[in-house]
Amino acid sequence: MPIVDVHAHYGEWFFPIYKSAKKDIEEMMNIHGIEKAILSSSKAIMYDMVEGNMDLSRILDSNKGLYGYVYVNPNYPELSKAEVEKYLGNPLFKGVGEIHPDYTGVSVDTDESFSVIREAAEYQKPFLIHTYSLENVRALVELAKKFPDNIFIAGHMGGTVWSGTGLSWKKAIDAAKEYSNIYLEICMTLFEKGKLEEAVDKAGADKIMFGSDLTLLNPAHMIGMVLGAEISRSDREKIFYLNAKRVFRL
Amino acid sequence: MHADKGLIVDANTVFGAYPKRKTDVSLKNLLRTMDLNGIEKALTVSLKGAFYSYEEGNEETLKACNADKRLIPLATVDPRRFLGDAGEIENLVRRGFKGIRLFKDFQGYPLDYSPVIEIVESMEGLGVPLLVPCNEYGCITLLSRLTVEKDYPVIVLGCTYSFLSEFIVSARRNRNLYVETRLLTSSDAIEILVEKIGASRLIFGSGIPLEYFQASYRMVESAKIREEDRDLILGGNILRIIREAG
Repeated sequence: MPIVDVHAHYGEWFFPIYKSAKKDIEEMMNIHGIEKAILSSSKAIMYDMVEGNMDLSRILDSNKGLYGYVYVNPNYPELSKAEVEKYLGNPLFKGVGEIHPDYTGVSVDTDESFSVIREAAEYQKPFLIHTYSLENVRALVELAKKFPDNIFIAGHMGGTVWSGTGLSWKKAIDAAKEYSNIYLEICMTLFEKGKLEEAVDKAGADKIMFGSDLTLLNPAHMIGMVLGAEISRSDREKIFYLNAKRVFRL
Repeated sequence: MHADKGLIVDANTVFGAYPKRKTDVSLKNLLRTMDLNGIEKALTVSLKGAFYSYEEGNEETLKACNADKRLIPLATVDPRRFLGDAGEIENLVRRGFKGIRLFKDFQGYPLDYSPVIEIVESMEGLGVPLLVPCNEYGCITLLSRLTVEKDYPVIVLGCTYSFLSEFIVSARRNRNLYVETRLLTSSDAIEILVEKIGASRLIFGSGIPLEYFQASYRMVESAKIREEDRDLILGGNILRIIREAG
């Protein structure tokens, strides 16, 4: 069964992670059967948007299945708009993301974010939004209401809080169920058993896409979650690749 | 060929009830998950000891393990209730528990906490491992300081990429430290640990039935390491520790 990874990264991390070069990504994709990956730049997310987007643009290659997200930072609205203009018309760039409120300090439901997203929304490509808390999910819902004609993907599916309650991912599932333009992407460190089954049951397998967080995270972890979940083969196919191919026009 | 080749021994399993969300963590489901995934043995502990009464939980754990020899009993002690009575920890080991597992993650106390320090001291000379969840910066550092002169293994549970450097630096100074693999989710964490501190310090755990077994198993299974190292991680190391505990 092929896999399309809609949440991957290119660049370094401030943790001991040394598999971060293009060749490492290609090797991981081969090992884990990932046919296509949509990457955002870790440098753009954590440090310098312009430099990061440029680094990323240099490694994208449709023959290798490597596609990109343009990163935008609402703290720099004019620069962000320029980045959108520079890259989003390029067919190798399949969307905008991973917009990361934890690193920018700006929620996605603020005027600063709206202004940047409005510019990118015209391209009709999906947005990957980092969601790892109830607040992140709430803000995503406001964003999705503001731009009903665009697709927003809840990266990490709302995430996992260490309390083990599942509250944030349950809210993300509710949001994907209620809003036709909100999708779920599954990668996270802690996988409480039952969360994928619940997402399929409530939001529907059509609204869920595979993501690994590669190279921050090991794709084996997320693949294990999908294979270990008590869901049907056809649901697995939708999650692993069918939905991504449809949503990203791959 | 060594005796533990190909065995999966899961050092992190639980059973009982889970009050924080609806999920099946029954003993029956634990055993079913073990069967489904070819898990030979599992160290286990009743969640009653984590959430309600550790004394009652320990009785439940012993009963379950006596009924099914694939299960290896761990005792738990809740430091919020533990009064440091002489011989309490030793008595648990005498009764057949093969280690002491703390639930700091669910119970919320800090590591720098007199009852925890008393538990750490009380385990001297007993030979069984102490299992401690560490999911904030500084926890592994302090745990290492507390146990560096001790004579028993200490297994860090739930170490993520955020604490990987802290674990590696600590483990280089403290030979007692081991790490459970369940949340070592970064792309090359297992390879890095094997290279820096050796496969003998990694212990496989999955968190079933609260978590997905395949998620943690596949990280070890697909790691670019030697097969003999994989066997040590998946079962050999924890079996050696348990055997040495007597």
